[in-house]
Amino acid sequence: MRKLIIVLLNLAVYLFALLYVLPIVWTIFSSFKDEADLFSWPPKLISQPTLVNYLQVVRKTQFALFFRNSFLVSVSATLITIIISVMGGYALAKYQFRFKNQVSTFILSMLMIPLQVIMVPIYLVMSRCQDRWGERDQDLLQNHSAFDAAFDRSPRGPVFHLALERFPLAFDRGRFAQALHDTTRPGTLCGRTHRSVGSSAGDDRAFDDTRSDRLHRPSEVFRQGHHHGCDQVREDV
Amino acid sequence: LKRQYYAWLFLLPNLIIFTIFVVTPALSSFYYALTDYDMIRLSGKFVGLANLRYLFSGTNDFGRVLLRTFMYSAMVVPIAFFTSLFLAVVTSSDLIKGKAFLRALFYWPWLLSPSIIGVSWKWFLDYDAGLINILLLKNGSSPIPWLLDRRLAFLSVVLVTVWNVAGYFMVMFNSALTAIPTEVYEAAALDGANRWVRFWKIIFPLLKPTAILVLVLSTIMSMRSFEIIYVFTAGGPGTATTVLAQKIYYTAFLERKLGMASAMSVILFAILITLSLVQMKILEEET
Repeated sequence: MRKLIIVLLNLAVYLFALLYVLPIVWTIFSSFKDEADLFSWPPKLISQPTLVNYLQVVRKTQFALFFRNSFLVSVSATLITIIISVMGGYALAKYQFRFKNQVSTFILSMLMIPLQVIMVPIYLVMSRCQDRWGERDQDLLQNHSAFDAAFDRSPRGPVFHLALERFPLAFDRGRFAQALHDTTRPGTLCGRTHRSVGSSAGDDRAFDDTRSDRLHRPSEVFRQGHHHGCDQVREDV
Repeated sequence: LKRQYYAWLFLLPNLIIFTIFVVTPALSSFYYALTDYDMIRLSGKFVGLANLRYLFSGTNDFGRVLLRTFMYSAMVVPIAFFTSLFLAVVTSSDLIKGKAFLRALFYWPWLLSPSIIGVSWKWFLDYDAGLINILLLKNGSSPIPWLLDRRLAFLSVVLVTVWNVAGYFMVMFNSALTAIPTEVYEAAALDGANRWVRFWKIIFPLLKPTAILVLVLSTIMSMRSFEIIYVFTAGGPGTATTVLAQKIYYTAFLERKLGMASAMSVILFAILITLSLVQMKILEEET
């Protein structure tokens, strides 16, 4: 009886999971249908698969160009992000210096500024860059939004723009990775051995210092969660 | 002293890029908010608080957009909270096989690009060719105008947003659940209460820090959500799904009133800062 319930429970969960991803699955299925089948009457759920849509993409759109743009944007954004955030993260984790807390608070508070707030000025900056450095397509300014422009031609502005957009998060991770280095060891999960983890006593101090001001971030909260959990255990048991 | 020197050297690229791409635009945004800068003249004069006064004068739909944004947030936050908690509990349960696979599946929507999500759902809920309406037709019922009816479109947007973020918050809850030692579960099991009571009385209180974080993050996310709605409904039908970020975008890049748009973004900024401060305050009290 119990076994049957468990099997049914599993079935229900997997059915739910299937429904959950259905919109994407449906889109994927649709991509293999030709136009006639998509709007046929009565509608067909499954029809003869065809690659005609994919050929259309390659033939009729500038797919290679779009792909190149995406590639350029993501590669350069990733590189810039990694380099500067590793550097910054290293400095904050490793060194003691004046205004350290202020700098780190400053950088973290920048995370809160949403894209919408800086969107307009950045657009203006980008459009001026365009005037200055070529890409003299008036269309770009007149008819396209900054977002369209980002995916349209010029890799220059958008690269920085996207780098910037992802950069704070990755910065976070740069430091996070170092903090993670000790928090993920099994011993620390319950806050039992906090000290023994860093590679040296000095490192440990640095980590602790940088932590104190980051209480509002996921990693920290998880850690707090762990501590809470453990304290609770001690009280309970 | 030399060490200090190196620290600043390492931080320099960081600070430079931040200054150029975040600080300066953010500050100039405040300045533009006080001008009537527009994109056709590419110039503007100082008008003081006229933009803000206009926005709250009640002679335009800004008030309604603001209200709608709050409503959207008020719906997304609780639904996303319970959905992700539910998913986390399901994918952490001992009774379920293939937990890792399920987690990956539920996390999938978070990894997709907003434009893919928008297009997929638009297609899924399409009046003529969407899967749901096709199935309804097959069963002899009439199709539902998901994206054509104002109220349904709004609900659809909420649904899609929840669908998008639930996996992300699920992972947060998952790690919080994993962090609870098995002893707690065992001790709870000895208590004899049923699973439902045990969860809410014993496990859920232990998730409190994560729960608060999820609530605040989802509030901030929903207040600034833009991309998915932009692709999914483009704010329509009419302005039924136009939220604040959308309004800023339209004002800036379609109406080309950069000054007005900046004034709106300053308002958004104020809202988000308030939320973030509340978040920090709560988390401080927690520790």
